[in-house]
Amino acid sequence: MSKLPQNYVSQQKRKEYLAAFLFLLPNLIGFVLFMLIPTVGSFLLGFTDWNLLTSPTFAGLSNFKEIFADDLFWKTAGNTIYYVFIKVPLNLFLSLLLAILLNRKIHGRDLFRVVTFLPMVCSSVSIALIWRPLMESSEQGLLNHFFSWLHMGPFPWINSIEWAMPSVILVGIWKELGYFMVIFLAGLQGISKTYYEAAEIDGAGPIRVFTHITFPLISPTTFFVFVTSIIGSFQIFDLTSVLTGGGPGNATNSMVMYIYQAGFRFFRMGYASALSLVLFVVIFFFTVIQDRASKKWVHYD
Amino acid sequence: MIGKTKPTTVVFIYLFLVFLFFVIFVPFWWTVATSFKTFDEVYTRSYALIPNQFNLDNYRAVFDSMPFGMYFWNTVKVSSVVCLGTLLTSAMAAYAFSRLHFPGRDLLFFLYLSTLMIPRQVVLVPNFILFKWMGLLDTHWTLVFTGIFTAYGTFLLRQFFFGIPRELEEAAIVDGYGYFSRFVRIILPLSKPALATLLIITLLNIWNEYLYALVFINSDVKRTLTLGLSLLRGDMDVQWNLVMAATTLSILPIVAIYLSAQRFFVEGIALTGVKG
Amino acid sequence: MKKLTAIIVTLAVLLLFSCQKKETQVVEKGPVTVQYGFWGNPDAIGVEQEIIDAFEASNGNIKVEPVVSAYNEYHTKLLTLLAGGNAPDVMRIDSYFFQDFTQMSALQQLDELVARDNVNLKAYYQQGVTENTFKGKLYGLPWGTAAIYMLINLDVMDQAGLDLPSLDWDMDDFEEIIRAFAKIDDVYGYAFELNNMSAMLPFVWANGADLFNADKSKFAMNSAAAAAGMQRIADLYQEGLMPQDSVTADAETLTRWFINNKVALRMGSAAEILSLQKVEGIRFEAWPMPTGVSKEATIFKSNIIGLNSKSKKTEDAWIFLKFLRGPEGQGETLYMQAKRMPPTIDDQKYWNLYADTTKYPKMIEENSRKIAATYGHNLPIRPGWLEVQQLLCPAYQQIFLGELSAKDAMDDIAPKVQAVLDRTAK
Repeated sequence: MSKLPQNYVSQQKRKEYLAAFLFLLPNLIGFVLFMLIPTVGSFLLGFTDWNLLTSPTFAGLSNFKEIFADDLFWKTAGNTIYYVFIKVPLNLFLSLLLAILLNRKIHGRDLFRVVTFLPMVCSSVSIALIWRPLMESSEQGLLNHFFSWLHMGPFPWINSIEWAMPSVILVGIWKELGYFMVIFLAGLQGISKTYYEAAEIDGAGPIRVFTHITFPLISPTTFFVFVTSIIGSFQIFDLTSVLTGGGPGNATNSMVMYIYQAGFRFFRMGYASALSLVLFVVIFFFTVIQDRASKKWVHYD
Repeated sequence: MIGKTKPTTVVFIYLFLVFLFFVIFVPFWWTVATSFKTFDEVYTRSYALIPNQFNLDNYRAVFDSMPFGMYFWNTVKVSSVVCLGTLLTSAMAAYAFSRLHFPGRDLLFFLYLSTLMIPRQVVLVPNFILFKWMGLLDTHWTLVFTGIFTAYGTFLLRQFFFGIPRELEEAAIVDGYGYFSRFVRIILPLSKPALATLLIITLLNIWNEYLYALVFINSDVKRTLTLGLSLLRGDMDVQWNLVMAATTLSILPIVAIYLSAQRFFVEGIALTGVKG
Repeated sequence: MKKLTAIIVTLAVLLLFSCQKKETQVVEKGPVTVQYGFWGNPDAIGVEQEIIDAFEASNGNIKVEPVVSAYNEYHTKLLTLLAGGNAPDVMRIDSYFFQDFTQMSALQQLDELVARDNVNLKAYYQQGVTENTFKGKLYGLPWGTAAIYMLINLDVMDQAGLDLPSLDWDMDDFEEIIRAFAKIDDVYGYAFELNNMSAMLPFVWANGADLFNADKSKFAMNSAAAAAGMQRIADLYQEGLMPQDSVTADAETLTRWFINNKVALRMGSAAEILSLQKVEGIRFEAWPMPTGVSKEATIFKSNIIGLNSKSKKTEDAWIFLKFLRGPEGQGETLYMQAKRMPPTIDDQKYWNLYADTTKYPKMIEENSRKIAATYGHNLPIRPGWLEVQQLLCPAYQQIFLGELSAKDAMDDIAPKVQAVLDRTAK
């Protein structure tokens, strides 16, 4: 190889680096200042004792030692993982199904799309107000009324240790069904009709079309939805605070609820920061796994 | 989209959708219905989906009890800056993360993702101290800055940009397009559905932003809508009929914008028809 | 798309300009500005604004700037402001937080100021002063001293042919009332919420026990008497004599049941009375809790308004606090005219402003005074209170769901609670 092309290549590369840098810059400045620095700050607080009022004192690893002996931590971690593992797959499955249905040319499509979007705009306060009467455990509760027609129930909903978490999951899915549907829809819109036309000519059935065309082509979107919904669900806070307050008997107490209480109700910001560092590690672990696994099923380009 | 579907399947699909419609819509409608009820009615006819009468007293009371227009305007201001800023900076960053190569790209991207993994309740205090140090407390900048730079938008757009066929860009390179023109003329127009999605999600988040607004904003003239509304349930004696009227008022604009964003989704199909 | 983009860009530019003119805060030579932190809804904020206006009218050189938020997040905001050194000069604090805040030196000790200006502390209901005291020193003036009553729905009582009990009613009378509703479908004698540890304390007190020992250093809810007090209620619940949803009910749910004539009795604060008063045609009374070995079984609670220990305007803040809460100030009169809560200062003239015999509860004055004198009991609040609550409430729920007996549940959490007490004792 002559000298010239090599130089040319590295020059090209340098040009690309510069372009990348410039493209990143506006976001990166703000990101470092307003996202990264506070995050690092809260990480560091995890190694201190701090009641928010007097200045923090260095505590080494004592917070972390305490966390692993803390029953409430294990309880909330277990609840959170339960929530994530049941809610996320169900939610994504339903959202994708709905997105596929609403991507068709059917009557009233726009109406359905808007309606599924509505729960997203409900504040968590109104969610509690709506769902608490619905989920009353007597036969008078509206849901139980409905189920009694089907000769089922009455179910205790949030008033039993076994039923509380499934009830919260139900409301969580109700709230976020439309959210992920909107993102899936955007992904589906990006698929060219020509693929489907070709499939039709080949005489492929709907399932085959889904597994061979739709799913691979929206896999980058699916990956995004998977990662963000897991991150989001691990941080469940609003829903349980207003719906169950973490009860009964801590059955729906979540890690972020505990973190919030530790910081702002027990005045242990250092401990709360340490707890969130542990939560961070857990979420990070799951994200890395997904990233690794994604190489097998996500088709970029 | 797939040619003919069996009539039974169509019926089944409709039944499923109508069922979902009721499951999802009824609780939402209940919010609207409650906004017309009297204080008594909220409790005595709590399930009623049709109020005794559609009077506007609650709406009037909401306007009387707070400078609703001012709060609304503050929210509109903050939201529009955050939406625009997020679309612009995330799209650019996402372009770098998806189409350009540079050392440490994936590592940096993971750093972006990492900041999503820490609960904001914990970042609140460090953020507060940062804003105090910058002299930005009690300004809308606090909400603007914490709103724009979340990794969420960058991640969303990065994933969509990955889906755009490389050949299109390669053709543009042959035509002598630089990075910026390729970004503006090829990537952005092809990403309209994704940009519309990000717009609506960003809007939703910033419109409902509560925790940060609560702590960073103090003066009445700077209060956002969510903050103003939260005061309606500020004490133990809550008038839920007013809360629901205010809630309905505050979510109408988002629903309206979502409705108009629908058209961009459709537009997106037409344009991306070139793909593949 | 273009139209929308144009609109967004225009708005963005507008904002940039409106943000640009950052209020250049002119160094005020004239009036001093004192920040005053409190929680409230529009009604409550209106009352506070009236008081502020009245104060500013008579104190031309002091301006008061409100720092308001909704109750639920008020203390979160306050803590963040304290952490950043931006807390208001005068701040209202719920008694649940007061002991911790004071232990962390957030508040200024007021004994010297009180003595210097001859503030008559005897004028207040003494339970209120007690709740403003930490380790024998005063750190605030009482605000909103009131009982957590037993609210009695008179229409529901009529339905079972029951009369109002005597003020001295005991646990047996209470149980009798509950049992009287066994025969009426979907109507119950008593409903409760368990997300606050106060829910069980009146029954524990009635049985002669308490949450902690006398100096609040040891957990005592696992004593036989305390456990029996709780178990008695739990047994009635498990018999199906109380609404099943009580275990996770919130105050809102209880209000709904009460208004819909579904329950005869519930515990309720002055704020809940305000909600009930807005309902047309409801007839209810505010009563002391059932008594037992001890008569002092009704919670008498008070919040605190104190001065920020880091305030640079202590004198001005103190002048405002005296106006707001002092026995000589006008604050109490304006609060009473708004009729949002019963008087904190023990004076007939305030009761005359507050109590309204045409409105239910008609006997609130008489009963409140009796509660203050005979039946009232301060919550044994101490540092770490909310952390203890976080251990206790899930245990309550386990008891009611029949997972554990009261004694076992309390024994179960005793070491954990004790650890919290030891750690927060300092």
